[in-house]
Amino acid sequence: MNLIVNNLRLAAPRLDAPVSEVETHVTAWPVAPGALLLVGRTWQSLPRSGHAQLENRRADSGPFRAYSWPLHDEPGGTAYVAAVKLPLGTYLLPGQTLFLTDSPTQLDNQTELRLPASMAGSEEFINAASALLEGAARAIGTGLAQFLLATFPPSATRRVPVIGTMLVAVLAELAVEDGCVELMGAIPGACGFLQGWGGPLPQDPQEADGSIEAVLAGDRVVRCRVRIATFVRPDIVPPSGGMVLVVNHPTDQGPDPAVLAAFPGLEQVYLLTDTGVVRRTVLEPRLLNPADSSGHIRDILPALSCPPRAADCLRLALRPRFAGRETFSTQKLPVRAAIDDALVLPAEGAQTGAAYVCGWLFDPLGLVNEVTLRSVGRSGGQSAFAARLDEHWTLVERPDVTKALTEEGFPPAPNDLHGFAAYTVGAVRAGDAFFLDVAFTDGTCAFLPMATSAASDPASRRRVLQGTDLFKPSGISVIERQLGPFFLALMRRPPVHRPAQGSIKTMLEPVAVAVVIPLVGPPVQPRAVLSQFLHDSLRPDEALLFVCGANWGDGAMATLRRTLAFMGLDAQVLHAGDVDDPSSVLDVAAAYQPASHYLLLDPATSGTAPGWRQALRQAVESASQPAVACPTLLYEDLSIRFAGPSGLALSPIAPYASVTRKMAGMPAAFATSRLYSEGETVLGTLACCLIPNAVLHAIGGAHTSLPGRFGQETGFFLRLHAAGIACLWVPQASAYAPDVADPATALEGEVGRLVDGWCLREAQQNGLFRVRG
Amino acid sequence: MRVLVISHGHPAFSIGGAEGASHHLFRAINAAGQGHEAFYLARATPPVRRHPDTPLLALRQGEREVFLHADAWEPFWLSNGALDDLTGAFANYLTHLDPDVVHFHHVIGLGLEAVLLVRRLLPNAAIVFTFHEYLAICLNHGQMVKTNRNTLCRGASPADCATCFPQHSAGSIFQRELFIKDYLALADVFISPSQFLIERYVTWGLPRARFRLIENGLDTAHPTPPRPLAPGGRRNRFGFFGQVTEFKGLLVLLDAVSRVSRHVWGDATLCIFGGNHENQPAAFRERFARQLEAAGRRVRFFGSYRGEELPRLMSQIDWVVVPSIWWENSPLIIQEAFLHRRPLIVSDIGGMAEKVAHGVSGLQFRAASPEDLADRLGEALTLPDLWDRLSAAAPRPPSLAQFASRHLDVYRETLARRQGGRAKAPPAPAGDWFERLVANRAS
Repeated sequence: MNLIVNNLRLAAPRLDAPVSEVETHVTAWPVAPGALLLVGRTWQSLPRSGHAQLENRRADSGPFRAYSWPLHDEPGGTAYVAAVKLPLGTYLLPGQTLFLTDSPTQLDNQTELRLPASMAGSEEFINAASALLEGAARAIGTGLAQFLLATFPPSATRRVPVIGTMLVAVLAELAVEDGCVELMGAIPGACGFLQGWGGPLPQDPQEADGSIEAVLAGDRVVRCRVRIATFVRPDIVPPSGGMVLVVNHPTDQGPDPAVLAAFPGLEQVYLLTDTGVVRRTVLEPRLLNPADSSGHIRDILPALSCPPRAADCLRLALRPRFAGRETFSTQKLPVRAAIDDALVLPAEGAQTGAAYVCGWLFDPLGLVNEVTLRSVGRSGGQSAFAARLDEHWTLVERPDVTKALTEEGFPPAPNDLHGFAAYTVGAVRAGDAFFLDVAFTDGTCAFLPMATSAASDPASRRRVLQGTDLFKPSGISVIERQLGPFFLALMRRPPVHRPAQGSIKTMLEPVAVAVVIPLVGPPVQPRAVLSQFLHDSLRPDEALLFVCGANWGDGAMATLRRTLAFMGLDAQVLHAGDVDDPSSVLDVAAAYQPASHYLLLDPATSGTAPGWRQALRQAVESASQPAVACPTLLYEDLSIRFAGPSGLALSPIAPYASVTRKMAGMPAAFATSRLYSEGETVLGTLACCLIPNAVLHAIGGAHTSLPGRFGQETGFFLRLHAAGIACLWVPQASAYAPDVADPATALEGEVGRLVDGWCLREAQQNGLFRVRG
Repeated sequence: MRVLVISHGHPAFSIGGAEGASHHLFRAINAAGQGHEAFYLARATPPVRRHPDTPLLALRQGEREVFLHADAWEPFWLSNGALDDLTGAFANYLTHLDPDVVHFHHVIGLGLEAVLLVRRLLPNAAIVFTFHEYLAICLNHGQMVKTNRNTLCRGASPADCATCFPQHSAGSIFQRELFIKDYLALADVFISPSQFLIERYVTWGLPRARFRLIENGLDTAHPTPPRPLAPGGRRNRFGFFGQVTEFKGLLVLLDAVSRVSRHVWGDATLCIFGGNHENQPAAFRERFARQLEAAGRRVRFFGSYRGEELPRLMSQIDWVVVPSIWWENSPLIIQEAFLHRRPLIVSDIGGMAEKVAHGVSGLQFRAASPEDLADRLGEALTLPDLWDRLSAAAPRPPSLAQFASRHLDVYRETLARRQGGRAKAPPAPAGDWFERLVANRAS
């Protein structure tokens, strides 16, 4: 870009537009790729901002902004500094003309600016700018400084040192010396401070947090915002006095480390106020280490006079920082806490992150002021996540905690409500470390780090559900206010598909129908589902696929393979890791076994007569629209378990949502009669369902991220329904589907059932179900 | 024709009706000659130790008798967890033997999987199944007696069975039913010694067309003459033969004996011949001991006996009492009593009521009723000519030769069906069972 050929004008100006010829004395400095700084004087005013085009080349154009002020030595003249941004690779030649307008579409009133014979370097530019600024500082005020600060962001200042140099040079011309800096320090993660003395400084009324812009110059130039705190210095004549400039990040999460790094080599501090630029020179500074900095601030804090935000900043700086360790057990107040579980759902794209935390906090004397969930980023710095839990958590009865801590000598508690369950949203990031920040009424605090699990991890979800006690009065509240919303957030995300492990490494030969049997419960050999194939053999275009879940180890799978071999069944056995639901199993199977159709077959389900699978397939293939198909299902007492028409009943109270099956419980013979009308909604069942591959692909997979079987099954068919895919009931096909659920574990599944119901009700009412992909 | 008879126990090591019947058949077929030969395979269990490198043992029985050590029995499923033993040693034995007929008297120990293995290895062989009790139907030792107070079960259903065995859900019990039926469907013929049992299995869902009724046969060569009576003597010797278990109704019998008045009982005696007492639950053993003691000199307990002792034991007995509180199938002792022309006093249920016609070949009493049994005992002791009349009317049980002959007829018929290319009997599809079940439920 800085190409000097000769003093040749290469293009004529546009003849059809009025041109305001500008005679300028211009110094141009290509300060950075794509950025040209100009300083000069002119006798016409430049537009303050607009569009600049080089010669008549539209491609070589971009925005510009300019700041101008009257020349003090040439009446009618104007000095200016302009910044032009052109596309990378633009060739600038001496003498070329820049056409400036207010708007790229308004070609009238172009202002022409001819480039000089040669481009300047930084020193020449700074000298030219300094010469123009001489004597004009008071007239300009901070306008030029503000212009430059606005033109070059802090990152540019750091990245391109000469910009900082130029900035400091300009500020030096504009600044008035007023005070000095004598002492510097920093509390990492909290604030830095520059202490000294000087005249009173007005707060920037435009900044709500009471801070003003500052430029720190020395061996590097950095920009920051400072808050001002004053104190009385008996050795300083009023109105000047002692002053502490508090350096902090605007979000109060800690100052920019680059700013603190500038402290050791600091020489001047420029403060941009409404009335001008003030310079504080750093004279023989003392740089305190972090420990001494905290002590110093603690010592002078009572004497400081400052706006509330500055005071808060300092008090926050004095607050203990989380060092990765638990501090409850070492603090003296009779308060203890523990985390039972914590699930996180990181933010993704436009989706906000979420977290679910449950545990207990024993505070018999009411000494806790705030409970905040915070996170620490990967680099150890504070991340953006902080959320109060105590404002909306659900308290849970924990008599075990009362008993245990009372026996340890803690004061008696007025009740057992020490447990808590909390759901919160925020900028959760994957990989961050979370901790509980508990602030006490006496100003102290304690920290409790916690291990978190991914919300998508099935084992963690199971643990959280198992830890929820429905028999406690708080049980329903936990579901409706904490668990339900958390899982609803998870449900909105695309499901995590896990690859299968084990012996199958590559895709198998495609088949017409893959019979997929999910083995996600305890590793019990599926005898009944296997024995049906003795009399209803697989066809050549069918394949049998067993997909084993977390409970199945190598031994159990080996026994299954041996049984299959003994029975002469050619079947594949996959291990799908920690998958624990049939719909995820189906997704895993579909990833490994190419097939036109997938028949998901619960291991307790077996056909009543040969040919039933073919009847399902025929129904799907002859349907006039995309469809899945389910046979009649019978319980062990030969009553109907599923026979077609079903609906989703919503309710304001538990179980919130349930599927009503019109003929459930009726004798089997009723399944062959027509007690329903065409077009009635059919919500099928994953106990036995034939699903075309195309349908599975259309809805983005079978898995619905709900914790219980009810949610996965119902969510799947609701998604089909929302996507316009029919669920066919095929009465000419029937299968036994006995209820083999272990009564001992029924309650264990009840929490998941209620969470599912709540989420499905919310989703149904908010129209969440739609086709994915 | 070569026949392999499979049993869950060998009478040399295990006393029981099924063991006896199966071994009788084995011996009878071999005795029949005419080119027919039978082999016998029985299960062996601990404390018998298996050989290090094979589950097959001979145990010094006949050259046509072999044992399969099977110790991975899963009773709920009637399943064998040691498939390697089946696909290894058992399969080798089958292949080597190459029988025309494989006749299962039980699958306890070997598992239903053995039936599948036979079908796969010997596609042309006939598979025959004899039912001795209701093990396929009932989890309570196949007795069809409820676990609650031993009341009789008149029909199985998953829900009812789950009541007796709450540790299993109705759904699991139904899965068991489907699994067992799928494997039984591999068999060609089912044999039962009683019509009562056939009806029970047909009600359960097995096809009637596959059943054959063949009464258990005996060695009928030497019937024992009646016990000699002193002048004026009475037929007052009662005998019980069988395992000493609660299901056999001994407690009812002891109770009944004590209810008969001294005047009527006089010097009558009840002789109990039976074993397996030590393996019964403690509660039963205690009650048995108490009632035995209370009966005093009226009852004499002789302990277990061997089959070959039976004629001699019968010589001391006038009446045979079969007081079982479970349905029974066709207790061998009934045929033996007929052979030796000892009138029977039996419970009025199940196979007992089928075999013994009240007032013709014996007397019936209300099952589990010591009062009614006491009345029958009193009649036996007081009614003149009753014993003579009943003894004379006792039907002659089939001989072993007849027993074998009936079986051989069934084998031939089945083999002709399988191998002759005519209407082979395919495995009954589950739909038949479904239809029957639906029809039965609807009725």
